[in-house]
Amino acid sequence: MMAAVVFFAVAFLAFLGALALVFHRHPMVAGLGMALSTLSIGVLYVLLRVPFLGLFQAIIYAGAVMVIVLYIVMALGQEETGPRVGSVQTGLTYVAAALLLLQFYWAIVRSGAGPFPEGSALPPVTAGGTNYAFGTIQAFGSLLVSHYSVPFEVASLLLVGAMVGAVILSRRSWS
Amino acid sequence: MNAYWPIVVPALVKIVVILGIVLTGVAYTTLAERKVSAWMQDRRGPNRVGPFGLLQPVADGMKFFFKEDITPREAYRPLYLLAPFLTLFPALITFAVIPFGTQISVGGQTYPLIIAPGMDVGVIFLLAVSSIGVYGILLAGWSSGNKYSLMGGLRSASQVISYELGIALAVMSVVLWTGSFDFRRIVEDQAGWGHFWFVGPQFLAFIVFTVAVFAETNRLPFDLPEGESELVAGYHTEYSGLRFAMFFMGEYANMITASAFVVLLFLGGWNLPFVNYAWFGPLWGGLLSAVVFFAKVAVLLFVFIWVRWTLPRFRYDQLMSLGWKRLFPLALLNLVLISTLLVLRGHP
Repeated sequence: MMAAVVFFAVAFLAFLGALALVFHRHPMVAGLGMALSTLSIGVLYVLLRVPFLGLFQAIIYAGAVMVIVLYIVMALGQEETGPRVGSVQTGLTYVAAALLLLQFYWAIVRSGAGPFPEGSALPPVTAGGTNYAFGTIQAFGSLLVSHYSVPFEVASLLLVGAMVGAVILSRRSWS
Repeated sequence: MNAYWPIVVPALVKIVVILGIVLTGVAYTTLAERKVSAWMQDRRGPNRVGPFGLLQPVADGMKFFFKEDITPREAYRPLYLLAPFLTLFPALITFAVIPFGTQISVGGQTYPLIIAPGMDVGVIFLLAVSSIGVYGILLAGWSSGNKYSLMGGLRSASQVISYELGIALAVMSVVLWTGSFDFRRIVEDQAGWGHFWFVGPQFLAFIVFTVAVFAETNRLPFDLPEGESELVAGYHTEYSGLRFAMFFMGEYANMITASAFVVLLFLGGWNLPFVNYAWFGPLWGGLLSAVVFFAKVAVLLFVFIWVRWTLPRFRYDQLMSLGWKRLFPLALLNLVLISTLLVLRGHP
């Protein structure tokens, strides 16, 4: 009961933030909307019994990524954007978004996953021959450095690539 | 609903007590700031309101309350009004996960001295909330519609992000050492024979953390976001009355959080050498541990004030170069050293 109340409250906030991001004409408010959305999704992780993942969501997305985005908006001094133009492109975007949503819904229904019965124990996570309780940071860390170490390292490589690219692109001259 | 009461009532009591202590602490830290600065500059400081000026914070509060709350014409109103709340609330929420003593037993029940006792990732919670705190400053700077405020907000954001790396890395080395994100575990690992306060074995992390925390709280020598000689008052230039008071309280509450963070991670929490709180019985032992904890926090607050009235302000490029070229590599080096040491010791 409690969980359902929190879920709907937070889901509403996440939705509100997303709407602000897409429709608000002020880039600063739009950015804040996205921050609200990411924070709310962090709370959803807590509801799914992975509290530290929710906190990392707050640190990384709300605390770092969105702060930098807002920083750039501030530094550029971007004022309100002009009125929205209804072009073919805009229409196509709406259609594509609706299709994605439909596909997402279909994937959820097809997976057959239902809500956890409240208060039930979740299966432990096995990594490196040891069992860890579900949702603990130990379970997460062990999986990250054992089973998922390759994707993890590849992701960091991608990020380094992006960073080097950004430095090269922003360089004015090669003198 | 009955099952909730044994959890909700003690939590509410603890929230009221802690908020009382913290808000009083904030009020008297502002007085201490003025008294200590006066003492260091061979002045008397505020001494008119009450005995020794002890009622000065009350007078200040009344004044803030009766001042006009001005919104500049150029301000973006919704965010301008929201920003002070976004500064003060994160600063106060952090106290939910800060343990301030061992535990007290009353009437056969044991109450741990922390508002949220079930939180085993308190360290991450504290980092998360403090990373959210920058929004208040950022929005205040931007929404004021004033160049000085904007510059202050921008500086603050970049400063906080730069120094958060150092903080996170220093915290990581302590977490590696103890194997836990739980403040209680970290404090317990600093108690008893053969265990040292982590300021010893983790000295590099301590240095990095303390310096970074000064920058994170925008205190001198890192108070560039509000450097008055260039930016008037930075991000809160346009604020007045109670809204300004909220920024002010947020800053001092952050100082208390930061001091508590340092005490818990590096200065043994509520532990004293050669003292076991079990000697004093279940009630007095717990209360004594809380007193010791707040005394240590008070000492660190004094250090914050001391540093502010001793060191001059950095230049902005010096601040950035210290953060990225000195502290960050030092924190990385420390992490590598600690990890190597742990592997050699055969730590799991």
